[in-house]
Amino acid sequence: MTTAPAAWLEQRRLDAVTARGTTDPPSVDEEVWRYSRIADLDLSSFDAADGSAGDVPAVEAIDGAAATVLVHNGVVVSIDADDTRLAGATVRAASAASEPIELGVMRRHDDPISVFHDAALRDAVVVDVPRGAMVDGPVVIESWVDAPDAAVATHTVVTGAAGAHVTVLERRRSSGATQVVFPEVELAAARDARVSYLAVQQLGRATSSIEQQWSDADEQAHVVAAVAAFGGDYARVRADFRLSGRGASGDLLSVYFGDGDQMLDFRTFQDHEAPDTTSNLLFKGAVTGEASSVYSGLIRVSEDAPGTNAFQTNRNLKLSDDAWAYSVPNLEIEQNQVACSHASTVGEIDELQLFYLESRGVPTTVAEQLLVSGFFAEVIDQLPVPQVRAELRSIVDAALEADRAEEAS
Amino acid sequence: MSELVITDLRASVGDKEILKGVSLTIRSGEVHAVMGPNGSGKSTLSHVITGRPGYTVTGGSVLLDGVELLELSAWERARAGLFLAMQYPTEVPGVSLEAMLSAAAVAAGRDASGVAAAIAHEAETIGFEAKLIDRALNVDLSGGEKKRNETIQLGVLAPKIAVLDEIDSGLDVDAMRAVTRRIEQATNADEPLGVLAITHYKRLFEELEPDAVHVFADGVIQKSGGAELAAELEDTGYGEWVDPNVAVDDGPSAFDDPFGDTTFADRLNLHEG
Repeated sequence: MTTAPAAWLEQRRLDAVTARGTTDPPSVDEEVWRYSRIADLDLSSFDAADGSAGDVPAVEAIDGAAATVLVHNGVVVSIDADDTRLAGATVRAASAASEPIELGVMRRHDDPISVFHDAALRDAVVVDVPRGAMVDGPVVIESWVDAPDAAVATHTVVTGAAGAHVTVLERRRSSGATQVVFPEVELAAARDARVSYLAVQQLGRATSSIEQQWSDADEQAHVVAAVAAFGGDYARVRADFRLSGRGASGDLLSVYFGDGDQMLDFRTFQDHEAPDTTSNLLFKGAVTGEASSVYSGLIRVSEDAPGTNAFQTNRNLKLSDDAWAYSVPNLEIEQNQVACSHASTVGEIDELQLFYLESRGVPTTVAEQLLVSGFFAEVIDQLPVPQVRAELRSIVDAALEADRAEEAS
Repeated sequence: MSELVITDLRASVGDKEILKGVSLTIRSGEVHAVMGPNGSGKSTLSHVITGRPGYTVTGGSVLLDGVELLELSAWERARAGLFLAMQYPTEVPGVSLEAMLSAAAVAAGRDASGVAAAIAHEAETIGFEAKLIDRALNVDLSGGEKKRNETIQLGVLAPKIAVLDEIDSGLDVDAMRAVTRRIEQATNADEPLGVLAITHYKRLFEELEPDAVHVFADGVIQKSGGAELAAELEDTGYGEWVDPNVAVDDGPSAFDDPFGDTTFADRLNLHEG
């Protein structure tokens, strides 16, 4: 499928390259970038990667996938679809479309990152699920980046028409080279649709990632937007989650584990714009070594959204003295008939819980591992794509084990 | 046969001495009751023996079959054969009973494959609902369920010596009977359990007959005797050993008797303590 990109797509990119010349990069002076490491990155110095040649390291296939899409440096290189499981849904590469596909239509504010993304964008994965179609098994997107000193944009659009059901898993990996990735995800669920999305981020430690994620749930629809973040140097996700139809609901979920000197950065917006809408956010992370994490979340309830239920919980485990976790939950409510709560904690492993396990004969390191796994279990058990839960647990276990081994040496 | 020998044990919290020289020997199959008023330091005794953080041992020795426990970490003490049933078992979100006991079995070099069956057997014996077994440890369990859970663990781990810190608190009559019968049974097993039972109340001994009763106050054992001493305490209370000027934060406030049996507390004359 490595044909020349569609002309409209390349023109779109070139326009953005021009626009980039007059775009100021994000600044930590803006609240949404506060505490971030964005100032350390000279985004303009990374030009768009221009090739998807070379091999993509093999990854373990997901059982029961409805489709598997291979994306190399932002370009779709193969789509392996199971038409029976797709049940009428389509999975396409934007680069293969002769007519323009609208990308970025769900953007709801001007962020310079959109320009940097567009200036590197050579392709997109577009998943369309028609009315009432129930896709059996996840659509799996395997993204591999090896573009030293360059920028790569990935773009995923998932649209569920009325009553449709679909789950998308995106696994992000990259080489050890210094590079920047700009992922963008658009999730739209029409009336009664159910769209679930999980990104598993295991980027190389010299890759920075700046992601934008847009979700919209219409009447009685349900959207799950989840991210499991482990890799990257500076790795950020901004998730704008909009409940636009009466009775819409959604879950925002995240597990993250930061070590070394990486920074994992999350900004969430739960925008309730219709009556009787519900959103549940649960982000749980651990930081160790000299790693840091930022969680900043805002629940916004418009005056048009009576009967809103909005919940926001961020819990952080600080596993070393030099690790740092920052957590800022916020509410902005213009409506009286709401039930909202936010909670945020940063703490160490509980000494009494540790003693309880030890007093039963569980060695300290094993007890810590049980407690950390237990801490994450609450989120992992809720994530879409049950096939990857065991893998996520073992990623956390391995990260903790490596950390403890390093501490002991 | 096993033997736990506590000799002149001294410990403090901060610069306040709480254990002021405790000596006690417990052998397999024996039940020793340590009874005393609140604030006497008797819970501290259980914590120091089992290695809970927050205490400084300033002297003495605790030998289990000749091994100095005070030099071991908490989990190594457990592996050596010591068990603590906690007064307030800690809630441990996300960790199951089976995961914990399997990890303990592996650490002790035992086969963990039988742990689930052993838990199920103990749970049935003690009347712990099967559906509660898979819950996170102590999370959303009632007081009585927590104590049954502690007793299941005692049954599965089969320690040499068990320290029971107010295992009778929070128990209704049925749970009390189930828990004490199981412990009594363990003291008569082929490898009999030795028990150090810390309690306020004599009712623990209806099923679990003590071989010795020790009155504990002001950081030391004030008096030792047979089962008759527990009955005697019911008549006289702890008044003669309680120094009104001594107040140690050592657990719950007085009279948290789950039955609200204030008349019993009155008979023990504890109000004046």
